[in-house]
Amino acid sequence: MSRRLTLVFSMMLAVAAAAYGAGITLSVRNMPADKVFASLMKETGRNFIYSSDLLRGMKVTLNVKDASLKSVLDDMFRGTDIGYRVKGKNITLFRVERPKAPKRVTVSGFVREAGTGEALAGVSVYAGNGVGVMTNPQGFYSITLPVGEVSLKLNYLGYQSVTTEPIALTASRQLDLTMEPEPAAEMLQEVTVVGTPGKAQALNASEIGAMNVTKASILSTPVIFGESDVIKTLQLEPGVSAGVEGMAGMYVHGGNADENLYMLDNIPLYQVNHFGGLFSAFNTEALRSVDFYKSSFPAKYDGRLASYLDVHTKDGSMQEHHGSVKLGLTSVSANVDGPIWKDHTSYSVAVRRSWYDVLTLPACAILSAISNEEKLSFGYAFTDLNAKINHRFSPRSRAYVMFYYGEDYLRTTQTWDEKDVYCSDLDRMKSNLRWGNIVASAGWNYVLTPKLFGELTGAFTRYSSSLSHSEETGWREGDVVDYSTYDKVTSRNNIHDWILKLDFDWHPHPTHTVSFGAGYTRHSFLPSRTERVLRSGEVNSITTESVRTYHANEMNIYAGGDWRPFDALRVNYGLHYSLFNIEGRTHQGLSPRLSARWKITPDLTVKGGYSRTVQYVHQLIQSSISLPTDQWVPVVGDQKPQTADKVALGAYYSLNNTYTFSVEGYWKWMRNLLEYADEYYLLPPETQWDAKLTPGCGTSKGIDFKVAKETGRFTGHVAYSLLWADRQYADKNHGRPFPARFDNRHKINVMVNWKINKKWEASASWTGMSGNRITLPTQLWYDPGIGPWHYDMLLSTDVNNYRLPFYHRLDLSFRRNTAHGYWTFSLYNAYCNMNTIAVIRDYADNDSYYDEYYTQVLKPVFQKVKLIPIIPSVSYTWIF
Amino acid sequence: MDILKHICAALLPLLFCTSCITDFEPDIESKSVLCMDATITPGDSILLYVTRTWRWSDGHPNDRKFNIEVDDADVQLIVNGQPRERLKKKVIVHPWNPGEYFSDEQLMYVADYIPRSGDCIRFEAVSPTYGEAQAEVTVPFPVEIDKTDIRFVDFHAYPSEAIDDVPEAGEYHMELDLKLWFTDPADQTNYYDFTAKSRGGYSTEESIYGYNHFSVNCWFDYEREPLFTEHVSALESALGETWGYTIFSDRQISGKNYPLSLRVTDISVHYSNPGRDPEVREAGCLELTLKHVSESYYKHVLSLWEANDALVGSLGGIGLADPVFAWSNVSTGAGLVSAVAPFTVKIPLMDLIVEQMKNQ
Repeated sequence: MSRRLTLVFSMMLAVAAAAYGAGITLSVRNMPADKVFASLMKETGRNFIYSSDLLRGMKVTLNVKDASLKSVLDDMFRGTDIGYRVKGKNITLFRVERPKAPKRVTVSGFVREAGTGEALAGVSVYAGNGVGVMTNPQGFYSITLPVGEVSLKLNYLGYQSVTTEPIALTASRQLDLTMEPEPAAEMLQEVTVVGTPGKAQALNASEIGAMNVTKASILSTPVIFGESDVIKTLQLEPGVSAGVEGMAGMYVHGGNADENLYMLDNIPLYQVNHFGGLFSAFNTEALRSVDFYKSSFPAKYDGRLASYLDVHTKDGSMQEHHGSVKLGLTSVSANVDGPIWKDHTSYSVAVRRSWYDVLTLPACAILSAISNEEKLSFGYAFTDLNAKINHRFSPRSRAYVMFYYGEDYLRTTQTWDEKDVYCSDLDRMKSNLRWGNIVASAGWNYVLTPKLFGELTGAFTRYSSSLSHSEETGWREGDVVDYSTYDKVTSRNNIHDWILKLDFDWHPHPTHTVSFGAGYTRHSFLPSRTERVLRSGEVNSITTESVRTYHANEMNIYAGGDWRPFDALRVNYGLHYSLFNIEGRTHQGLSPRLSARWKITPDLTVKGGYSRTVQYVHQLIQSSISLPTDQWVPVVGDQKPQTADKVALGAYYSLNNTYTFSVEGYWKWMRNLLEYADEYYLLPPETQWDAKLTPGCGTSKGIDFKVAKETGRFTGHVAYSLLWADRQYADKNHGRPFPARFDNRHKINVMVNWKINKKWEASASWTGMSGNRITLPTQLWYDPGIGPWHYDMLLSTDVNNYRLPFYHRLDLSFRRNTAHGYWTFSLYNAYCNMNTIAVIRDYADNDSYYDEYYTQVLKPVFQKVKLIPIIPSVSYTWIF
Repeated sequence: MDILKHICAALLPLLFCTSCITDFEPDIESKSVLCMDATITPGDSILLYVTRTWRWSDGHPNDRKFNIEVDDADVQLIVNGQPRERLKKKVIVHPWNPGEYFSDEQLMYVADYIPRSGDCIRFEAVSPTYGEAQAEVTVPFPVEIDKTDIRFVDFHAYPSEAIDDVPEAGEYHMELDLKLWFTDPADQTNYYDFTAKSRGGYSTEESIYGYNHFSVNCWFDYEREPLFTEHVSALESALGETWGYTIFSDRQISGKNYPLSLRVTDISVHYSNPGRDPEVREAGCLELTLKHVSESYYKHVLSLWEANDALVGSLGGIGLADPVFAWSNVSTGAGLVSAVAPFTVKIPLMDLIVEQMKNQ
């Protein structure tokens, strides 16, 4: 026994009343314990036996009067690990052996794809006994466990499940893990899996309406022209409306198009459409994974009312070079990635360009050849470039630089010259329209402690559009050409953001994860600047219509967590606070978030949630297609930030670990919405844009149902959503409420993916939904005849008073794997149901007669405009 | 590249020839309401055309069998707040047929009262079939064109014969710059419309040299005058059509003396007047009218431009944006009661030609 027992005092005092229990009076303050015992021995005549180190450093403060020895001793040792035993006149002091809590250690690290080192976000890391965490977007996980042996189990859709060898945990350690993509052969087998991301998200996560979209699921969605697109994949989800057919629009739970926050590696992207919305700006080849939230939102995100879409781009392989080239009917894309410095630095570059301009060349040539006077050229193309360099300084430290450039351009040239005659008028028109985004960001993430992960990000994001139109007129006499008039209009609008932010993930306990951070954004808005240069005869003028640039400062701070107090209950809580300063006014927004999951049985959970969102910038939209002239503007003047409160409830059930059933209901109240007022166009063009708007409110409510199967040869889902969405503005529709344009009451999606064999894979997607709403005037009135031309006068009617016919469509896609890549054959609208996209007024072709004055009388009719028939497409992707 | 050609050949028809149109009747209930149209001019009789709105698919007024006139309306005329009279129904042959609808006769509601500038004219109509409608307008004062400056930009004369330096026949080509000075009345908001026409004439009696005639063809270039496009943003001027709209307000010239600029191009005059008929000689002119118009007139024309020639209206026409409605000041939303006070100057072309020939 290492303890040295020393008998310090053994004294016997002859005190008559000193029996155990007799009264003791003592008043000491911070006196060393041994001296106190000396006094007690004197007073009580008892012997105190103890080890000298037992009382080392112990100070006693006591103030008792006529107290028993027992109560004195109890007071002295309360809250300490010292006990005592009375035997005869001897009182023995000893250290009480309390049961020790087992020592806990933290295992943390990154989960990456084997071979490439690509970080995997959203991987479930389980340690048994219901203890598990998910990796963050950078693939980081942290799990604190008792000392001992543990096997970690990793699950991720499209990757082989991993169970590590038993690891002896004695101290905190970093453990980086890798997962192999599932080979095609194994994907064909019916395997029993512990769980899938969809099921995990549905049953375990506390958020409602959150999902992680993988590149594989995007590639397997059949789409128009075979151009796989993350937004078109999300359009198949319940509660997400596509807008106009064929377009990559997204209207979530009755929200507007500008109420979705699109992010590229957590940096906002303002314009996400190419070709009026036919394609999104997200090149699938450059993606790693996508997080999408539509009902309850983590505290990290704010700034939009309806949804949050965070697209994570590929880091690039640290081991070897990879690449692919895709040749499609409408675009060509290529991507390559690999190590710059093996195991330390990687790169990833993806380029996509459409070739409509090449396709339209023959049409322009034909049109120009037909006319001797008029020559026409037309060109449209879009380009995307994603580039990223990723460097690993150490297992705990990583930095990256990311760049995105996306641009659309539309060029038309039209010339008039009667070549056959000696003298001719000349006319030369040129239009040039360009719009696009630039995003540049740099980030550094560091594992500060095994439980604390931090990321510092600096970024610049810009959206700009410009339009120039020029016309030159003049004459030609023989070979002498004189363009005497020149008129050019240039218009542009843009938004620039400089962003700095700091985010942390803290894992204090296996059942508790905390995220917190802060950010600052410097916004610059130029809603519109138009310049006109006119030279004609003596006139030589430059006119500028300019809305000045607005500068705004936005700051935000947030904290939130995911906490599982006990196995059945999981709570996601958070608070996001933001300040938006513009023109000397400061708006503030407090966005509380709360969602909870209650696990009734291992396969049945219910959830509830509430979230508030605040939006300071919005887009002025004049049509149902995405136009580059739609301006992004901030909240100014007396306008208030748009806010939304949303409550949601959901129930989730897993059947045999194969099928996941979910039902989610929501109710959303939106305030301070902004919209163009009725007859805003009567205001002079120099009127400030904000004077043309009217504030309003809106509600949306609905239920989303989904049955999903994520494993096996057949995978897919069936989804149904029921929606009511309406709006009410002070100066629109006479102040009366009206249904939202994309108030698609019923929407059904069926998506099936069948892995036939190693070579073939088939996908089918059927969409059926209530039609979009449009404003359809049916009554006309007599032309008073004072305009320069005569038109049919439309009698105003309620906004969105007509619902287009039920929309339905089947898309098919077949993929054939080859030794070096794969072919994709797809049929958009396979049974060629041409859906109505608009209603016009015209005259029946074959229903007219001539009256007695030999005047042709035509029959006026309403007509449905149906646009897109069956569209076959093929593409080949070569992988190297 | 052969493959590309084949792809293009296959793809182009798919891209451009894929839409299809089908007739149908939307299941929207709608009912006809009263419509009132009148353009009141000081000093002229008040003619109110009372019609009903019609569903597009029911027919069109250019079909003589399709009648939109309302004959059971009781229309009260109220002038400056005082009930004045009930309008009388009268069938008039083509008094005013702006829509070029092929109706020979029109049922008009006519007032005995002759309006004056400054009058506030109000109509209150009740029809047992189509309900009620009200509309009101204030009649403006004419705004005079104080002065007209004319400058020849180009002139080519091919006279055939002349007596006392006055040609009896000839062909003339010219280009003119005009400045029409007027003073905007202060202390009120004013709206204007400007119209320019060329007039010709001929004598009905044939001389030994044939019919005497004065024919004029010309082109008015309104783009010289920035006020005519003040309602058009620079962007719309590139994307939309602006020609023909000559309305403007006084927000840039309030209370000022201002010259409207107009270029008349490609003026082609054919003149033959061997009998020296003064009527023929004076018939050839440019007729320039500055209309001081009511706010309702201005807003209505502006809405027509937005609906039919601007970007959003054009998209609305094909279902890709909300439609733009014609502006109305009638309580039912149908019809327009406007007022116009015109002031016209005539520029006799023959005098101008003779003077220019003398100067040359």
